[in-house]
Amino acid sequence: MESSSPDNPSPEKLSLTDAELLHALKSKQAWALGILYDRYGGLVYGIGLKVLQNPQEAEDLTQEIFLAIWRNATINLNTSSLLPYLVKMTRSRAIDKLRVRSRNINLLQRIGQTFTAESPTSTPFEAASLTERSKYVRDALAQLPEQQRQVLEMAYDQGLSQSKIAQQLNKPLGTVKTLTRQGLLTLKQILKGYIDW
Amino acid sequence: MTEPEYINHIEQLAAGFVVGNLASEEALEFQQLLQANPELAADVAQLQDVLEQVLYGLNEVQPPQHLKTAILSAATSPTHPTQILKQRSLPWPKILGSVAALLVLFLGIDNYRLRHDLRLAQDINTLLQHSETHLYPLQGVNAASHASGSFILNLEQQKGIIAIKNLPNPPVGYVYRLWATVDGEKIPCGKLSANSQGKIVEKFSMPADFYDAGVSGFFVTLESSPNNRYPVGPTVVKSMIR
Repeated sequence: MESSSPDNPSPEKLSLTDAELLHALKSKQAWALGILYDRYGGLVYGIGLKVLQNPQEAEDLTQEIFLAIWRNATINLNTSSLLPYLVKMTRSRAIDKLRVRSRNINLLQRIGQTFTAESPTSTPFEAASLTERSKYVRDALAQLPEQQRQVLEMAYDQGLSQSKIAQQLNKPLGTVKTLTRQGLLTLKQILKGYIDW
Repeated sequence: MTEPEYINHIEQLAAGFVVGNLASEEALEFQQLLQANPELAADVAQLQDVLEQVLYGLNEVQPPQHLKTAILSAATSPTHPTQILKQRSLPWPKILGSVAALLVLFLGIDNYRLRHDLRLAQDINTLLQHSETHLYPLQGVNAASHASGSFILNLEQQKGIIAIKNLPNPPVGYVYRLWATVDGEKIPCGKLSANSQGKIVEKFSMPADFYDAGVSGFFVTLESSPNNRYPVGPTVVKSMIR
């Protein structure tokens, strides 16, 4: 495949799947990295910002994630999208950084736990302007039955694992799994008119 | 299982597949269903779209505009792509100026240190002649916010020299320790001994095997143990990111 500017990829390249872009990355095609950044940069940065609560650290983390993909594009995608992999990788690395920072602050100040990896405060993130999509999704979540909304927000807003959600809600893991699945299915009905299928 | 129950069962499996919470036997069952019913892939794709909307809607934030350019230029840089954003290239006039200032700071004021550190000064001079030498500016943080200094690293000669000023003496029972960040790992480099004026000049052996994956930065922590394999104390000094 011929190379092109990372900033001005051709329309046919813009429509390539994530797997095809990863294939191009293996031969160090920078335009492919540019397209993946355009697709996922805001999400990676947003998750980093939400967990780390620090724009500079979120920026560093975003660089780290995309350069890691650049160096090693041999990712085995379970789905057609790179998104679940990126979300997991971003959260995992952000939480690692938060734990190191949290330990340092705790020892320095000789106080109890200041930060926890899974219950970040939300000042900078919530201060960011909400996109139209964000508003629509939050409105849709508000229409869900309470328990479904709660588990979906804990999973995808706070980044908690299913077992952590079960622990926090004091519910069996199987119940949390069912609520998560049912919540997604209900959202599909609610968002039917919004997503162009 | 009635037909509505069966349809609901398949929907639940598809949703579980998309959110990634299927048990292994459920995953196997769904894989077989997908093979037998390729049209299920369309349902899976729609549920993936829904999940993507949720993830974006709850998390997406517009990153700073310069970030994309920085990432692409780091990726396509011919040398050490991961280090471009973390490590300064060698601005020799500045290095010589700052090292000269450090030498005056550390050697000029204290005659004992002058004699003691003469060999270090020679080492610094040797390192600065070398093209493979890297400079890491250091800045104090947290309780040591007034501290500053530099780390000079040459992996070919397997040497590193740190110089820091304004570092408070550690509390009794604590030591300062230097760490390198190498490919995400924290590698211990050694202990630091501050003098009564809060100054440090120390030389470290830097075995190339430990650091050849590329040092992205250095940091100093306050530790209760001189032997921990990993840093657990607060960071007091760290290399600056450009």
